[in-house]
Amino acid sequence: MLYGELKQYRALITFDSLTQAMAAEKVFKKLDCPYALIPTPRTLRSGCNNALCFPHERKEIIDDLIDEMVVFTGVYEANNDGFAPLKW
Amino acid sequence: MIYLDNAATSWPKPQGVVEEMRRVMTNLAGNPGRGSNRAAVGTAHLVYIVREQIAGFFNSGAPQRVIFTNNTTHAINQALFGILQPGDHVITTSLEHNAVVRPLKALTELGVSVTEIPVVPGEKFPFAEFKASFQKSTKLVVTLQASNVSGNLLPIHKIGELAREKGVLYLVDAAQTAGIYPIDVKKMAIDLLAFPGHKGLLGPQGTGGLIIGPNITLCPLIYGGTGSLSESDRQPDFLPDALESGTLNVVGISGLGMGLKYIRKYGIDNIRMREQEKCQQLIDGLQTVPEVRIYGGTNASEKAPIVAFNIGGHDSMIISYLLDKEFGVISRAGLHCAPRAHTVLGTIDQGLVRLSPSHFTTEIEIEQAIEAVRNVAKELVDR
Ligand SMILES: Cc1ncc(COP(=O)(O)O)c(C=O)c1O
Repeated sequence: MLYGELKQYRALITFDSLTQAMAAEKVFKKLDCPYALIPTPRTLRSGCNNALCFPHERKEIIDDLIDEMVVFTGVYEANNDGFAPLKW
Repeated sequence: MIYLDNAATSWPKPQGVVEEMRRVMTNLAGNPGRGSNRAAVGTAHLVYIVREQIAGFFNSGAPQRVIFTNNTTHAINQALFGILQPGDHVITTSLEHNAVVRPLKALTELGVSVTEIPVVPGEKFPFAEFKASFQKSTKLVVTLQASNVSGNLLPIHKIGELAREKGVLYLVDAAQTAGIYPIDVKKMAIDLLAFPGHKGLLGPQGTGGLIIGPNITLCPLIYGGTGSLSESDRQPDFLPDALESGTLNVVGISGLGMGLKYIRKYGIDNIRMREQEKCQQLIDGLQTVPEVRIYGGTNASEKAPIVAFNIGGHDSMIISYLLDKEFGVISRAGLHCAPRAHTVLGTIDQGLVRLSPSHFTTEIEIEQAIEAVRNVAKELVDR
């Protein structure tokens, strides 16, 4: 089931710790990419209860996260059946 | 009241610190990371921003390697118990605070061995002895940056470099220097930095932290809820969560953030110079009082803002008591939680009186404090 901004954005990153989610938020803000902090879907639960969703068409931003040393546990694409690993 | 005990905890705090704490308590709800409601995320943001500020302030890089603690002591304990195992060897100095001495004593009972380098406040650091004390099993060097008894500084830059050459970790107790002397953990080869939030950083009591260098893994001192990996009964192994179980002091941390902001605005060098000016004024004044003896040298610009003295052979506790009761001058007396340093200074029985101004202290207050000491000295000598 898709909820919140995920319905529209379709891409999702998960983290081990909220501190990393906060570090990621900073990169999104800097690059002017819309995002939303949403509860991590149960099936993807990785550590942190919060995940960050963002517009699928901005998926290259993952490289920027890596450049900024943000540690994440997974990147997913949301579709109507659930979540699939996202390639970027 | 003339408050001259900023080495114990700074007072007053900048106005913004108090206002920010009030704002957070009044307007922000929520426990950071506990759930994803807006309240929990709001306070998590706040904590993250201060984490970033601290990483920037000490040039330590990754914000997640800044751990919030209740005070310096807690940070030091986390570092010592987090690294040392039975069979390990530690090098320390004779100037250390009980925040280092006591955990090391407890660790000795668990099979850790300790070498204490004798250091006399104000005299040169015995590098030859230090270098010769490294063993195969040496895991850690731990020293303070400035003595809380006399204000004298240790050459931590050089100590850090030597430790690094030997492949040994270096833990610095910055209780008396954080927010007063600039500290760059990368440049200074510091692997672990324990700092108070409530002294030179001008935050509230109940705040402090530990900075953990890259590639260092510490065993937690406290296990419990972190808001992350809740389904697992194992402690998370990632920072900061691994070492930050239990609810954080969000209100305190918000105040600490404002303290840092204030220091950046005012300028750390300006703060230190103002404080050292006040110390020099104190030293110069106290030297005109008969029977006053000053410890650790008389050049304030070479020390943390601390002036240590005694009057003749009189009990320092009585001097401090009279200064407070009769003149409203707040000092600290006794052994200052650092018995070894007093052994070296020869003040283990008498203790000593410590005056520690802040940059808020005025010239007039210092003048009044000097006159108060003059009067107390007269009273004691006439008795
Ligand atoms: C050198 C030194 N280390 C450690 C401490 C302990 O600091 P805290 O009270 O923040 O635990 C102090 C405080 O007086 C100190 O001066």
